This record gives sequence, structure tokens and C-alpha cells, in this order.
Amino acid sequence: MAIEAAGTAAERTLPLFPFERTEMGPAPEYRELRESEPFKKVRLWDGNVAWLVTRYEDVRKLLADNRFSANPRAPGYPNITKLRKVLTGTERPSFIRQDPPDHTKLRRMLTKEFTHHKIQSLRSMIEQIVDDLIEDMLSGRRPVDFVEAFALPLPTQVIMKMLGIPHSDSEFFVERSTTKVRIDVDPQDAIQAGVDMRNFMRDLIAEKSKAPEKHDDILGRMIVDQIQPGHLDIEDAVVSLELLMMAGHETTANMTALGILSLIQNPDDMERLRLNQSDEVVQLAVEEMLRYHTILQFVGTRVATEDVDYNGVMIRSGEGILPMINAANRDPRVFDDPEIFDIARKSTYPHVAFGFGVHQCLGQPLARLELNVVFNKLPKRIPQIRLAVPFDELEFKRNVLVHGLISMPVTW
Amino acid sequence: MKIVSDRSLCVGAGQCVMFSPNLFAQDDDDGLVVVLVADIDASAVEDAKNAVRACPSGAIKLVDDNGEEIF
Ligand code: HEM
Ligand code: SF4
Repeated sequence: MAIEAAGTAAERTLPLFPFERTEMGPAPEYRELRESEPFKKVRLWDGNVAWLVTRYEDVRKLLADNRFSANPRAPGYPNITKLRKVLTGTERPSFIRQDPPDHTKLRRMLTKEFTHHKIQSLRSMIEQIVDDLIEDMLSGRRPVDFVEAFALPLPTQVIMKMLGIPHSDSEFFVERSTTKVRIDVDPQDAIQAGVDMRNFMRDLIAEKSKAPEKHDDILGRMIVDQIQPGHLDIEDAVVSLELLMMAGHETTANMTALGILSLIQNPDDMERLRLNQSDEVVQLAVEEMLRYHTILQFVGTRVATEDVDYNGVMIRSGEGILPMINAANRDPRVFDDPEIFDIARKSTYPHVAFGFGVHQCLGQPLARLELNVVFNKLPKRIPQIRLAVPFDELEFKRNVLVHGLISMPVTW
Repeated sequence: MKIVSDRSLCVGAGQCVMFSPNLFAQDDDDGLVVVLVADIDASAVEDAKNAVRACPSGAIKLVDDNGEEIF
């Protein structure tokens, strides 16, 4: 008893997580912790205590270790915010929140849609959308909000086309999805946003099920290959579709805006991409943007399902871990001068902006292709693009699940 | 030296294909890994290692002629 009481008092002195991040980088505290306490106990809003992990190697190993569960209903699971807890407590989980073998089964129903090869076949469709959006910007008013005019519509249109959701419904989704990932919103509104999206998906499945073979899209194939033969429950399909829709547009949109911002801040890099004719140069630049910004900042939260002795650190069953991919991506053991944005950077080990382990991003070939097309074309078409407000006036999302810009007024 | 894969671990993340398209592909039907060149010579070792380093699920590795894991 005495020990337990002491423990609780000690726990109250633990630092409160999450720490405040900066506009262009993760919480500065990570830098010191990575050196002095690579496994650091921290306290969450609800008093739950979890291990904050900040080194690249440890983050990768823990994310790849299936003794840790991604299921928020598992006892001890570390919920970063109250809203997350409310949402995951009420909603049917998608496969991003499930463990093998359930996770494996649901994810594998979609892997063929996101292979390297399959995604490359979408290049001309994506190029067309990018060209059209650039034309619209060039012929429209200045200044313009880059997020609204370009960064958000691109991935939204692409994922909707792939899934087979009518273009006319994009506003509906963007609005609901934005509400759901915010942290400063009434939990009831976030829950309702999820309900709305899922109702929509349910109706769409019913509609397309009338003649699914007519629909040459992910949903059409899902109905024919999985739902109709009885491999996939309709409710699981609904949830997977919502996941793809949300993960497919929020992320790339934020990455696009932050990427352009980095180029605006580093005119030499903008110039380099403007003059560039080589695909590899763009690829490296995109990888650096992904590493440097690591927009999904709080993913990878897991809980131990058994005692794990990790190189002498005893992680008890039911204890949460917070392997921070944005901390890992600034680990000087792997990335030279990690705080510097260097579009020609090469490292022996790849960044973990798409996570690691069985949940590593399913959509990464798509995200990479979209970003590749953007950073091939934009610096050539609008090289003079610049901020229309001082940097200090930009509105960043900060401690939201996905970092990014709320808006970014630009001109040229 | 040989590349071996364990499709039961593969999550179809396509890292191997991105890093080493000459050595790996993904099955069109299920998105899982296909090793294109199993027996590799010295010139391909670095490529193969890059893929192994990038694979998130531990589904591919390099073994020596006795089947011992070397990377
Ligand atoms: C720059 C853009 C993107 C970034 C940085 C990103 C990052 C991530 C990360 C870090 C995870 C792992 C989450 C975890 O471990 O809990 C993840 C999972 C996922 N992402 Fe992405 N993502 C991006 C774009 C996309 C796109 C375009 C799609 C397309 C549909 C997508 C679909 C998914 C899905 C379905 C998962 C869950 C995978 C699983 O649990 O097996 N993502 N993403
Ligand atoms: S990188 Fe690993 S998980 Fe991804 S397709 Fe290749 S073998 Fe499978």
C-alpha cells in the first residue's frame, strides 16, 4: 500500500503529455529526452501513465512488436485526448485500431488496390487534376488560400475517384472529416460527424450493390469480391471506407501545404525543383518533406498485452507506449543535422513518417505519387508563389492528430 | 546469398518494391510480396539490404547458402 501511494504521488509529478510542438517541428523536449531518457514515463490528461519513446531504433522496434496492441479498448491504452477516448469508446473500430489476425484480414482486402504498380497507373489522372487546379488558381483571384484552392481538393478528388464516391459529395466529407480530427470540438459533434460519414457509406454500398460490376472502383470491387461472397460484413466495409476517405485526404493535404511552405521558406530549393528534370530529385525532396514535417504526430500509441523486457526497460502488461515517429525522424543517430531541411538528404535507414510495423500506411504509394506530381509541377508553373501574410500570422493546427495549416494565403 | 520472404507476415506496404524494384514486386491479386530474384550476387546486396531495412513487417530477409539469416 505504502509503495502504491508513493507511486501515485510520484506519478503526479511526471510531465504532462503531449508537449507543445512548434510550427515546423516536434516538441523541443524530445531532443533532450532522446539523449537522457529515451524511455520516459509521462502523464496523460486522464492520469494514465505511459512510456514516451524518442529514439528511431526503439520507435521502429516497438511499432513492429505485435505484443503491443493498437486497440483503444485494451486495458491501459493511452488516449492522447479525451475526445479520442470518447470516439474510440463509441465507434466500431476500423482496422487501424485492430490487431492481427483481424487487422490482417481487413487490410489484405485492400492491399491489391494500393500496390506500387496499381498506384502508378493513376499518374495521368492525378496529373490532370493537378493541372486543372493550377489553371484555376492562375486564373482566379489573388491572394488565395492555398489549402482551400489546391492542397485539400487534390487528394480529396483523387481518393473519391478511387473509391467511387460522387464528386458532388466532397464538401460533405471534407466538413465531417475536419470536424472529426479536431481536438477543440464538442465530442458530440465529432461523434455525429462519424455517424454521418458512416450513414453515407452504408447508403452508397446499398446503391452500388444493385449493379456492382458496373462500378470500376474500389467500392465496386469490394462489393463483388468481398461483400457478396460473404467475406466482409457490411459494417466492416462501411468503417474501412470511412478510414480510406479520411486517411486519404487529410494527410496528403496537410503535407502538400507544409511542403510548399518549406519551399517558400527555402527559395534555393524552390529554384532547384523549378529547374529540375529528374524524377529522383523530386522523390528525395518529397521524402525529406515527409520526414521533416511528420504530420501524423500522435499515431503509434499502443499498449502492452504482456510484460515486455525491452533491453532492460520493463514494460508491464497494460502499460501504454508512445513511440513518437516525429521524434524518431529527428534522431541524429540516423539523420545528420536532423533539424535542417535538406531536400537532397540521403540516409541509410528510411524515415518513419508512414509509421512502422503492420499498421504502416497502406496509402503511402498514393501519397508519394500525389506529392511527386505536385512538386514536379508547382515549382515550374508558379515559381513566384509566396505568402500573402507574414509567417507569424499563419494558422497552424499544432496539437491536432494531423499537423498542418488551417489556411495559407498565398500570392505570386 | 538468397532473399527469402514470408508472405504470412507481409502487409503489402510496397517498401521493398519502392526501394528495389529489380528484386521485388507485389502480387496483383493480393498486393503481397513476390521475390523476383531470389539468388543475388554481390552487386545486388546493397539493394536487397535497403529493402530489408525498409520493410515494416519483417517479411523479407537475406540468408546465406546454409539458410542462416545474415540481414
Ligand atoms: C502524406 C500522407 C500520409 C501520411 C504521412 C500517412 C501516415 C500514416 C501513418 C503514420 C500511419 C500509421 C498509423 C498507426 O501506426 O497507427 C498510416 C496508416 C494508414 N494510412 Fe496513411 N498516411 C498518408 C496518406 C494516406 C493516404 C493517401 C491513404 C489512402 C487511402 C492512407 C491510408 C492509410 C490507412 C488505411 C492506414 C491504416 C493502415 C493499417 O492500420 O494497417 N494514408 N498512415
Ligand atoms: S516491404 Fe515488406 S511488408 Fe511491404 S510488400 Fe515488401 S515484404 Fe511485404
